[in-house]
Amino acid sequence: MAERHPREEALRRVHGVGALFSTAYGNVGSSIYYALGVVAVFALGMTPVVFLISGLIFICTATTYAEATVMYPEAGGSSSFARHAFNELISFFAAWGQVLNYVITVAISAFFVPHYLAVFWEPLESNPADIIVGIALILLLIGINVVGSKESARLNIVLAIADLMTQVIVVSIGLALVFNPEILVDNVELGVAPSWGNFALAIAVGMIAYTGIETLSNMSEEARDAPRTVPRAVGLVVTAVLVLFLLIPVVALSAMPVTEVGGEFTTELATTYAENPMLGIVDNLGLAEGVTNILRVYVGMLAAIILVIATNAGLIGLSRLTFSMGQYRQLPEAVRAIHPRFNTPYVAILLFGVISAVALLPGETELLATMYAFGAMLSFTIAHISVIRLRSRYPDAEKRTYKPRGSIRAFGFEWPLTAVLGGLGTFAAWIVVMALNTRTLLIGTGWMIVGMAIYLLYRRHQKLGLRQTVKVVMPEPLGVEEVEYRSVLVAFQDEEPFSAEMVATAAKLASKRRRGIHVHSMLTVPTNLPLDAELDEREAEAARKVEEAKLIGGQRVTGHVARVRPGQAGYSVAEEAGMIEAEAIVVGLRHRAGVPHYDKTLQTVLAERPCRVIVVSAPADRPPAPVQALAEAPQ
Amino acid sequence: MSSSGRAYRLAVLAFSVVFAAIGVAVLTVTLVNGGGPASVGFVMGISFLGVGVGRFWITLRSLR
Repeated sequence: MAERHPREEALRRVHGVGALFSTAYGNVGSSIYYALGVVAVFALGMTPVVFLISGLIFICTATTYAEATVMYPEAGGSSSFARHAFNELISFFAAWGQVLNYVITVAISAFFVPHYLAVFWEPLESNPADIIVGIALILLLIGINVVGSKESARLNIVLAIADLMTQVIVVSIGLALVFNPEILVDNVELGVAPSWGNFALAIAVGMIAYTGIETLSNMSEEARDAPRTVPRAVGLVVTAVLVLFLLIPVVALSAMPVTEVGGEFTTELATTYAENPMLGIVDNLGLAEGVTNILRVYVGMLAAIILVIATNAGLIGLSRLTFSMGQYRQLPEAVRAIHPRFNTPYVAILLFGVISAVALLPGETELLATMYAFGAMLSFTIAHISVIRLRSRYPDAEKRTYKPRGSIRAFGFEWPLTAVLGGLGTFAAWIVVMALNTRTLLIGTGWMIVGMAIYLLYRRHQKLGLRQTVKVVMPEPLGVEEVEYRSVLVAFQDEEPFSAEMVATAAKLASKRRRGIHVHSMLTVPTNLPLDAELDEREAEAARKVEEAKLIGGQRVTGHVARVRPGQAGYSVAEEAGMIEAEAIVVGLRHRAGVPHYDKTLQTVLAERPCRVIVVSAPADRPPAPVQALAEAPQ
Repeated sequence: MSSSGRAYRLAVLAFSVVFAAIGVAVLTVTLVNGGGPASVGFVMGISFLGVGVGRFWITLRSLR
């Protein structure tokens, strides 16, 4: 008999403020390990000011995310907001920008891991060792994610807290031992070190420090009481990040002042320690050698672990985002193809993982940072505009249970000032990145053109309008509750129309994400034809049922077309269920003149069943009350 | 007005002043060094000043 598995808590809305804060801080807080050095390259002594300005833009962006996420608690972030505010084309634009962010996050996080591991073996911090180790790490994580790994939420929270505490300790020691306001003032030569151009570019690049705000949006689906918990978590993350990200550069530039060497202004933070800035702070705190060495190893190890987790989070984020894009038919189905054995979106993981590895090849942190700014600023700008548009479209929306402070009434609705200012900031930063960095302009534009071409061709192939939102509908299943199966087989006979209800029922039965659903779409070959006879049209029809099931059931759905002889369909279903060790079979029940018709196939399935059989009534011709039967497997 | 509301308004006013001050500093240095209206420093200075003054004015208006 099939095992019963209580439905897992993880699928319910379980995350409170603490869990949301820890996870989001784990993501955002990790970026200081690479952002500090990159920003210092451009901003020199103005680095703290840059972090303050980009932090204020971050507050506006976080507020925008909180308002829109509470309205639409679903994965997708800015692309989801743009879908509700505008249309699918703009949603794709935002989503494709986000894909670029994730690709760069993976590349830059992986690239910095060897630099922090250099506390154990120094050659790791120079080319080409850092590139090789970074790429090897990405490939390893691709492998792990393709096979399917379980993230430990508890471990992530513990590491996020360790990260926060470590940063607090380093800042506290720094403020006590090296903080010097005079040095901070002397570090700046207005208009010269840095030049205004570099200062502007640094503000845009500084946004890389706030990578990870999308996490809150992605987790909102599982947040308990989202209108209350999401804004609170956003508030806590913003406060923690702003305070620490302002104090860390203050300490860093007190410890590693800007100096003039041969007419060039520079700081060790932007040279020697550009690729492991937190180690630079530890080395220059003026502590005793023994303490410095211990703290160095601890910070190096913690940073490496956190960056590995950030790399992995980027890969997971990529697969989630591309899955969401696939659900809305923004990307070809092939991109989110599921591995037949591991049930993971291996094509998306491999494709975008390899692109991340390629992005890392030049080993240029500055290029990665400006590319991130390009994608992020585009995506954030669309998010801000979407929130303004949502206020204008639905001025009295009941869904807007969270409305941040600061609105001004004009043109018939309340303009959210955070979105207006944030939008101006991110848009200006996007223009600055393109205007002041030709390579970023070319690569970024190329990326967007490639994405748009894929979108246009795919939509045309699917005969869908560019602005049309096509959401895969997940119909409510027929009252299947509190029982879960490890694997479920859905059987379609060839003359039977596709039934979304059958797939939805299977999805409910196999509700834990990793449970597999296998579609057995049968094609009856007449006995006067060889079994492998060419039946292109009917074969395509049978294959289409598998594809439609994938659109509804998502990543865990696999399937194939099975050729059977007349009268053998029931045996084929039972045999297939036995082979894949299915714990439940879902079959359709048809009606004739309103009366349930237990045809020969259904009778055979019930007679030969190796496991439970769930019979779903076809919606087209069933009588008013839904019929559902459940047969136990023979003992 | 609640204490959190007062703190919010104060923070907004403070950051508006900071933005306006950065704008004035950038503009002054740019103009002293001979930068014209098309220079990066001039555009940045005007932008910071505009955002700072604009936000300050909106907050003051809402207090009336």
